[in-house]
Amino acid sequence: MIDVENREPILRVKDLKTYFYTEDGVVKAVDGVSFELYPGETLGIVGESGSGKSVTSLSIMRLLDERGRIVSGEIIFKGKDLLKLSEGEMRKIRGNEIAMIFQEPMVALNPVYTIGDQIMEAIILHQGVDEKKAREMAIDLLRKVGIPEPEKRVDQYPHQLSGGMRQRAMIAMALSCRPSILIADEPTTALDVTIQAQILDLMKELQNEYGMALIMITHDMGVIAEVADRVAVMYAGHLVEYGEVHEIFKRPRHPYTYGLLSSIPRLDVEQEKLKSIPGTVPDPLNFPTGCRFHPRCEFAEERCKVEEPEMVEVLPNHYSRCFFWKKLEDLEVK
Amino acid sequence: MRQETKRTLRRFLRNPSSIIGLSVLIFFTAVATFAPLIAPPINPMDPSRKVSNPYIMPKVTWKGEPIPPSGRSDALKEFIIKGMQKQLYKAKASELVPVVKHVMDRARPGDLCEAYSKSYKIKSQVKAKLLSMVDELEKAGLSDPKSMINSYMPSDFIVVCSEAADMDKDFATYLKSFDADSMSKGDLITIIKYTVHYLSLKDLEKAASKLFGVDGNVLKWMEENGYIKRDPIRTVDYHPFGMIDGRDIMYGVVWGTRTAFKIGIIVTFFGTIIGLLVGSIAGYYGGWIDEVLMRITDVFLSIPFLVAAIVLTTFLGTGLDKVMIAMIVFGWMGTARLIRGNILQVKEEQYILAAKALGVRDYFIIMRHVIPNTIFPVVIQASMRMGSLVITAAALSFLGLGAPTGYADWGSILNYSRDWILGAQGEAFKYWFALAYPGIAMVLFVLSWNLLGDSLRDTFDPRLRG
Amino acid sequence: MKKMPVLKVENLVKHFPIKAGVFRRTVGWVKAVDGVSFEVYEGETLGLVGESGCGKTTVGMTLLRLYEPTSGRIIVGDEDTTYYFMPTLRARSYIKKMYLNRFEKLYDERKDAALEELEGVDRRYYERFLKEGKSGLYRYLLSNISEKRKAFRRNLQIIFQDPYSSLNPRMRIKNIVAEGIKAHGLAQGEEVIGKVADLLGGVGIIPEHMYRFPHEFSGGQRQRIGIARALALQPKVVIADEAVAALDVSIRSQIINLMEELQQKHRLTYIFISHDLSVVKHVSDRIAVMYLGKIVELAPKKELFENPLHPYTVALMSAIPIPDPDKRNKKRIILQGDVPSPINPPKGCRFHTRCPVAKKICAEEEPPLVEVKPGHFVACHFPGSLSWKS
Repeated sequence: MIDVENREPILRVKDLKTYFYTEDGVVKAVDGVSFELYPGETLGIVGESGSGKSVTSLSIMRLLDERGRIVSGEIIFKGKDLLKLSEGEMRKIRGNEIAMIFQEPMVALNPVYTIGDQIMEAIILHQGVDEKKAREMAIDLLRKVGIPEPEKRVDQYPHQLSGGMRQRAMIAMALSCRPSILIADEPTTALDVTIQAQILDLMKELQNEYGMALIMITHDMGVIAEVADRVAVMYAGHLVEYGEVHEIFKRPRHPYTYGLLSSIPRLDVEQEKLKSIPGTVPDPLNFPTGCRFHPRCEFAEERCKVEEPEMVEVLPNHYSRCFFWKKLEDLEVK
Repeated sequence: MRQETKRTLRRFLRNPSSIIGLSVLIFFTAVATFAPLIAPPINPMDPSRKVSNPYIMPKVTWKGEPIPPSGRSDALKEFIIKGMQKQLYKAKASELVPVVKHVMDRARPGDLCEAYSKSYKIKSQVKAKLLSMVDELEKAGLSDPKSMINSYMPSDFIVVCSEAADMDKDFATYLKSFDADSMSKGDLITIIKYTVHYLSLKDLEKAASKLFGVDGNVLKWMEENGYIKRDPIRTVDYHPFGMIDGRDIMYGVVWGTRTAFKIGIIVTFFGTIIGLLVGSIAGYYGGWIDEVLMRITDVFLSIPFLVAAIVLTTFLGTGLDKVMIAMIVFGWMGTARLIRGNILQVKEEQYILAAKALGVRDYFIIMRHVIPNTIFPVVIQASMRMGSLVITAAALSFLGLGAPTGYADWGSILNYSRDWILGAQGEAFKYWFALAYPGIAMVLFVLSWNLLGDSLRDTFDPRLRG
Repeated sequence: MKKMPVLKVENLVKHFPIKAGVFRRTVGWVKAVDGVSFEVYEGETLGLVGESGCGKTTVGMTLLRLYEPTSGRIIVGDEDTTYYFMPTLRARSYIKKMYLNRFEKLYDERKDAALEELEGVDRRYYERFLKEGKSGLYRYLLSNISEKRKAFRRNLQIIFQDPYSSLNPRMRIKNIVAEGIKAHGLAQGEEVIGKVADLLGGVGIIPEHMYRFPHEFSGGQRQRIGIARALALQPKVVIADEAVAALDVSIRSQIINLMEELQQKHRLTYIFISHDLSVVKHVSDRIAVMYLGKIVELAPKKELFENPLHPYTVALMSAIPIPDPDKRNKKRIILQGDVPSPINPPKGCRFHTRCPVAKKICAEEEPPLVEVKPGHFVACHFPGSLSWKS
């Protein structure tokens, strides 16, 4: 377990607001998110579609499309605010110090270049070695991420690899410059469970070896429980709960987290009927007033409709954005 | 739905290209609709009468219109002479005889002398006659007329001739008494060529009517048969777009708008129908039907369009309708491919499978599920094609396959003004208006359809749907 | 207790041709489903679980006859429905091959006595064959084929995975739900609207919203509409093809609960196709695990989870991340490599290339699906040799 108190975070996101200006109005995709990432730890960001978890990661990388704008906030990485860097300085950090892997490696890999070319490009760009050396390094990396016959695979094109192999190649590319932070955006969602297990295993192994911090973005509570040290739960552009993984899973103090945990079909326990969160995920153009979860919340009261709750520390290093978190004290996740 | 419609409309109207395209098209539609008011189809020769076919640009003939407005007869004479020249060499000698007789009758003796000076055979006869008059000529004040007569300088000869004709009536009669019937064709042509310039307009017309064997208004006849073409002119008051060959360009551009819409709509409609039919049958049924239909499509695609159109018009004959047929026959393949591709895509959609699982009949599946979800790109493509079709039609008209001479069609007007594209000597842009106005109309028309199609695609592109 | 199956699949095979070249010659076959047999009993939920490419979706599509089966027999209730959607000539040759040739041989050998060893459809058809002869059986099977097709459609319905692609974006909800009702003439005029309202109410959609278009609904609501459409024909069997896979976690449980309620209310039988073993475990009574076009293990839920016998089943179970950080360090079986291509499946046991306990025989001989305990079938030479529970 990581001793949060005595360590300096490698990345600190403060009050990040990322809005999208669409024809239909302003989408407040990320609306005041703050968290820290400590060296070597894994932070899981969990949320449903439209919760803003992917936009958060794209904001850190400053890879938003032209409609998206970071309205306010700070992203402090090694003492520098990434939002104040020029595009050129940012490019040096991107891929080199902070790397990212995506859900669908087929989209992230360029289909007209070989796997080797793409890894070598990153190596040559950031490390300034010659082509021969870069090729050796690329083969080494492919071997390290568990791709069989790397000497052969290095000259293959993305479409010649299976989904799992592509994701491995993607990881190899991300690791090519030994980044201090790796952001993984739903890295296993498109994969089969047996392959997912391989990839998660590999990522854990590599994290130990390289000592990098990992931000794991997923909608799958199972994956979070498997890999994360600390968890940030997002709902409708807000962070609703934030804390150490055992805390979040054993003592959720936000009704959304609680609802989410008890609505998952479980392989390890017998459940009669699934609990479910009523209603639908809110329209990002039109978030509810007050607490954004209140229309679906079983504990909601009048106050929740009008007043927006702040993040409060409900337990040491465990934060929740709920007025009535005490109501959850006696409940147990089944 | 209302909300969705509003959203779509808003997206459409926010797009500047759609606004521009739409307003230009509305303008063209208005022009086409009100063509009879903007450019009344009235016979300019007789303003009380309407023209029988408003799509044929009415033509102003020489006598009815003060064209060219200044120095009228000279310019007109030039036209007539130009027109006659071609015929002179074509005609038989016997046909030239009456013309020569007329010319000899009407020409001044001095002018005849000039003509004779170019023909050695006649010159020698006249010389003999003149030599007999040497004394009298000397008396009249010419110094050494004999040597002047024998001189090799034609001008000397002419001087003597004119002097003789002036003082001696007999000589003048003699000059005109040459027997045209016995002259060679070369002499006949020489006489006509060197005397017509000196004829009055009236006599010239008469000469022309004798040459062409036409009674009555020979000018009109010559014009109609292409012997004379007037240079384009532009008078800001009466003909702001200018005139080519006696036809008002503005009239042509205005009524050409109707033609453009006609070509666009008819060809697009039938081309799309054929394409839809072929493409949807191929796409929906697949298998060997698809194979056969798509190979046929490939064959059609592999034939160069212009060559095909030329071959087809040699079978069918030229004309706007024939051009439209050619464009339909060789213009459906794009739609067929597009709709086939879309259907192949939609066929895999789960709602189609769901309908099949419900036991819905094929006919309803096509009508309710396949068509509504595949037709939009076809509509967008059709709107894009509207513009380009007008260009194709113009190209064919330019090649002379399209509309007949004088038809109110932008391409035909351009074809018509082809002779003046290079301008006049030393004035490259003298006749700019002959090309500019129909050209601008065409560019705007094509551009506006393309803008509209583009913005429709942007609006309805499913990837942009929120 | 021998229950009567509502749906019985025998040796179902579906191969897709791979065409290439100018003349579209068949250069190979994708063996998506390669000999699958199972029975589904009334009111139960059979879970069909496996990874992508195992053929589970193809099984569903072939059952619904959205794909024509390559071979095999699909019996619904007490009728063979395999030939329903074939062209007449092919249907005749199917009947000849499947029944007449066999019956004639049986009759030559043992006359009426052969009836004793036949059961189910075979027995019923043989009786008719004895009574009315060859032509009588043809007449019985081939008459009223369009009525039979309609009845088949009414009995079997499907819920699709993708709530966005499964509803026609240009149709109103009312027309989407009413489509089946109209196609089968189950109601006319005003009645249709009443029925649609009932159906929508039954799945938790406000009936007043029936005039809206699909895009005005969220993913979960669309899935409810898809369920209403499937239920419009009052089917006996509903195939749910990854029906909750595309939904958000908080919505997924709503739909699962709804499907369970509807099963109780309408006595529905579900075939629940999914890649997610946790969901399948929650909803199913019996579970069939598929791998590369074959069922490798089939057992009642409890039995399967307490006593998984096939190594693949064990590996699948162990690979699923458990949402409990305390169980993070459980023993996990990580399979090596990828699923082989269904164009060229491995010889012998199809799983042997990835199996941690494979022996020599596994590469040579294909293990049959055998009943090792009552109701527990497994296709493995060494069942139970891989264990996982810590």
